[in-house]
Amino acid sequence: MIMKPAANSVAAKSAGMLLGVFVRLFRRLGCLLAFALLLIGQPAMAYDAPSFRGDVVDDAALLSEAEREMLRERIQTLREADDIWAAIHIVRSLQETSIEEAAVTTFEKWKLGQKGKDNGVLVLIAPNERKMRIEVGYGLEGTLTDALSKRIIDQIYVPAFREQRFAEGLMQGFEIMGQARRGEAPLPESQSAPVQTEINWDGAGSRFLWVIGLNLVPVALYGAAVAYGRRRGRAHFGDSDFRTLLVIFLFIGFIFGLFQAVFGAAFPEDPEVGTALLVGNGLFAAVFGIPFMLRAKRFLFGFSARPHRGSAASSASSTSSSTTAWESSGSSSSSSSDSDSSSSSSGGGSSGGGGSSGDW
Amino acid sequence: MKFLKLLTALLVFLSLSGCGYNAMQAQDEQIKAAWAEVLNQYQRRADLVPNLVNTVKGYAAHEKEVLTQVTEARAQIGALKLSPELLADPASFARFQQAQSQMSSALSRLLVVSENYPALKADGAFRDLQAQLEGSENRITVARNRYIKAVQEYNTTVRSFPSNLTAMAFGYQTKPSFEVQDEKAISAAPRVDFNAPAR
Repeated sequence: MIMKPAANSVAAKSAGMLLGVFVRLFRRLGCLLAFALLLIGQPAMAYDAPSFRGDVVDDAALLSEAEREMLRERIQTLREADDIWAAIHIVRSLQETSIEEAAVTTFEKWKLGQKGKDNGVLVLIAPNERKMRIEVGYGLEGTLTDALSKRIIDQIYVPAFREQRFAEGLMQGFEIMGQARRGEAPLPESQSAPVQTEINWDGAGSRFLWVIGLNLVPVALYGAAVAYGRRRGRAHFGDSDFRTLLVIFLFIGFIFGLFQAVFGAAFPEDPEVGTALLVGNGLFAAVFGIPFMLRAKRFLFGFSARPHRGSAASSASSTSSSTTAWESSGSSSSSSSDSDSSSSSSGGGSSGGGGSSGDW
Repeated sequence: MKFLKLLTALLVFLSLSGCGYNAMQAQDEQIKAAWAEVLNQYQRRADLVPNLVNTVKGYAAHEKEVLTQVTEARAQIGALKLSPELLADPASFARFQQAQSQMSSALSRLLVVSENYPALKADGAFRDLQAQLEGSENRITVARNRYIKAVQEYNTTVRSFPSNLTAMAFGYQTKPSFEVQDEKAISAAPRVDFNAPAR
């Protein structure tokens, strides 16, 4: 805006140039001002990086003053011992840009590292967006490779940040950067494959017990029905039946519990496996359960042609609830599968962080 | 007479440097450097492909379609001459851009497919390759942005008064820049098909 009158003088002076008179003056003012105007006219960068205010810029107030001081000292030793010129920026907001763009813009503005050596490193953390990035200067790309940066993020930052141990994670990360710079090979590759190469058995036992418990529910209900029937004098052969049922369902529960435990551990990311097993379990339970269910009906209602009108009616209210309980438990092995399969998938407990480049 | 000659030489020098000649030279060099960086980063990505394909093959050999697409895209890029002269010829520049964007989409499809293979995702070599590929894509973006900025600066100089007179006198033209490849594909919302089997 202030430049406007200057632009007029540009026109005037350029006329002068065409006459070949005020060449020198023109050079001094005209072209320069015209350029200045053009540069000003260019759109500003989308991401507004702050100016450099020291090695640790914590705009989100994520760290305590003591932690900041500790990190500053660590960065200084890193700079002196390993020739890595690091800085930390914790942003309040990414302003709708990607973390990559923000990191590049900040790096460009801060000009980290020595000129010609390009040995700067920027650790950008956006707690609001739960994203982070290690931006590596050209000169360090050989030592701090993309793969190593990723490993630092996956194996150190992410677990630490999840538990709010920001300063600790950052300190450890710098330690590894220093090791890499000294030619030691930190964070071996094999370590970067969590869980998968060996099966994680955490929660397998609980899944097993869960399935057995689930299979014992119909047995218990049948037992209750037998007891109820015996009190009414309807149970003559109930005991041995009950034992058969118990054995059958224990067997089913044992087999499916084993399946559930093994497959749940082998495919922690596939909840369908658990669901399919539960459905199969429910089918088995239904097939073996139906004869007993019919028998249980006899215990509960008595034989169909009994003139026990009053007691049948009085028991009907209580039995109807117990039969629905039975039926629902018969189907519950398949319908409650939601809750159980979610527990079998969450029983694995460890997730790889989704693999994307630095969320936590 | 000699004094007059000297004066004209001085005037020419001053007016040339004043009217953008030197600026154009500097910006032209800037473009060349930025372009070299773009090529460099694309090359880096292309170099990752054989390794990536081999690793994925080890776990998901039957994903033939995607693997072939990637390999073909790689071959296509290999056939292009990745030289700075590419810039001078708009047709080959367009071809280059098309080949690279084909590569980008093939690679992203490969990564999507690999999501279905937990064992592959857990493989250390694959994770490293994935990180490198991510880094490569990001570097390409940065290099392209810097190239675009350099070209913008140069083109502004070439087209704005009075440096455009200098440009005209020396026959400098505006340079091609990157543009969005297939706007149709980008503007179309992605279609999600739940009927298709997951693998």
